[in-house]
Amino acid sequence: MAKKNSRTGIILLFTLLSIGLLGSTGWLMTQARGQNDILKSVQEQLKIAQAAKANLELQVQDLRTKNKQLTAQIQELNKSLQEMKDKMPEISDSLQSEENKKIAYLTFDDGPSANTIPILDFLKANHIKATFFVLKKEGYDDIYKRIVDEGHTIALHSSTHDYAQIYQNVDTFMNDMNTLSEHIKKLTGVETKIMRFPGGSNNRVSHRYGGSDVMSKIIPTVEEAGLVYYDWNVDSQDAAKGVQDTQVIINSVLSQAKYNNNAVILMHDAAAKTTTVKALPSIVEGLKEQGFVFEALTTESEPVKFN
Amino acid sequence: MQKHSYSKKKKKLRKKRLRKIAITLFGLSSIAFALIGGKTYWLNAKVHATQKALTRITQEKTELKQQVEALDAEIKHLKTESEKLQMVLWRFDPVIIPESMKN
Repeated sequence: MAKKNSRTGIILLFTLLSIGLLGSTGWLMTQARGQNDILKSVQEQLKIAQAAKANLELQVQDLRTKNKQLTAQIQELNKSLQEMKDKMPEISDSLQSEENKKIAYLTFDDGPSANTIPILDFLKANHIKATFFVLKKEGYDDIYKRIVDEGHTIALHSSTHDYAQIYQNVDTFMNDMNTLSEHIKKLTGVETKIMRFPGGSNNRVSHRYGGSDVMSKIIPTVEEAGLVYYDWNVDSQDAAKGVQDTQVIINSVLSQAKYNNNAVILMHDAAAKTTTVKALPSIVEGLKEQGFVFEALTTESEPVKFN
Repeated sequence: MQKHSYSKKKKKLRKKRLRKIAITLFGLSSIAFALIGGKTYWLNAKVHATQKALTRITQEKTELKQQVEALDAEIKHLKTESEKLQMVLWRFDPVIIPESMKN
């Protein structure tokens, strides 16, 4: 009887154990499935991270190469500078004043014209950037584009430069400027915010057409429209005569610029101003000797305004 | 008498069979448990190792990003230095007159 009972017990035991093991196996299978999903996800993340790491390693390598190149370039430049100082000991004095940077802004009004082309060629050859306060002219599309493509600032000077038309009132002035602005944007893609008033911000010619207070109305409107205007503090005198003498232009610029660390130089590249073109190389040479570097105006440049 | 001993034998055989089935079932479920359990253990270990590798790579990426930032800053500084020097030397370069100005 006891033997009978033990045999039944063994069968029950093994059966219960089997059920237990099967249940656990089932549970382990769900766990394994979950872990499999986690593993796939983590392996994916690892793959992405390894790719990103490889990219960063390439980036570091690339930057180290650039670093080396620049260091070598600076060594060469320092060597050239030292050779120059050895040849011309007098330049050391002018170099010491590099802390007070002198900036010359070459500005050309009333273009574009045929004269703008040699001016652009000259600026390109000498790595100089300038500012062109243009009018709206047909047939000069390539020149507008060249001004922008070659890194100069293109700025508004008015569509017509016709004082009688533009200075009648605020609306006529703004319409004139907007017409020019749209013309420039269409040709170059640039929406310039820099302008110069025809005749300057303190001109009196506007009084004839819009009254003595017309400029005091136009200027705030211009500023509210987000435009930044620049007058000048160095006058080349190239507009004082139809065709000014070349040497007068050179002397005017160099004598006035001496007293400015921030020289905004008024010149004209209209069709008649051939002597301005002739004067330009001597002007640049003289300004370089005076320690000037050349930049184009931006909305962040130091303001030069009559008002 | 014979009938009684035959049914006794039958009962005995049935119980033997049941025992065999129970033991076989136990054996098979043990094997299944061992296999699945082993696989689960292996998966756990793999996940753990992969996560460790991911943490290491992430750390290395952070260090590389810092290196990139430092190199970028150094290059910016070197470019400024180079431009300054070029500007100084440029002042003493002769002015170039393009062909279009020579006419």
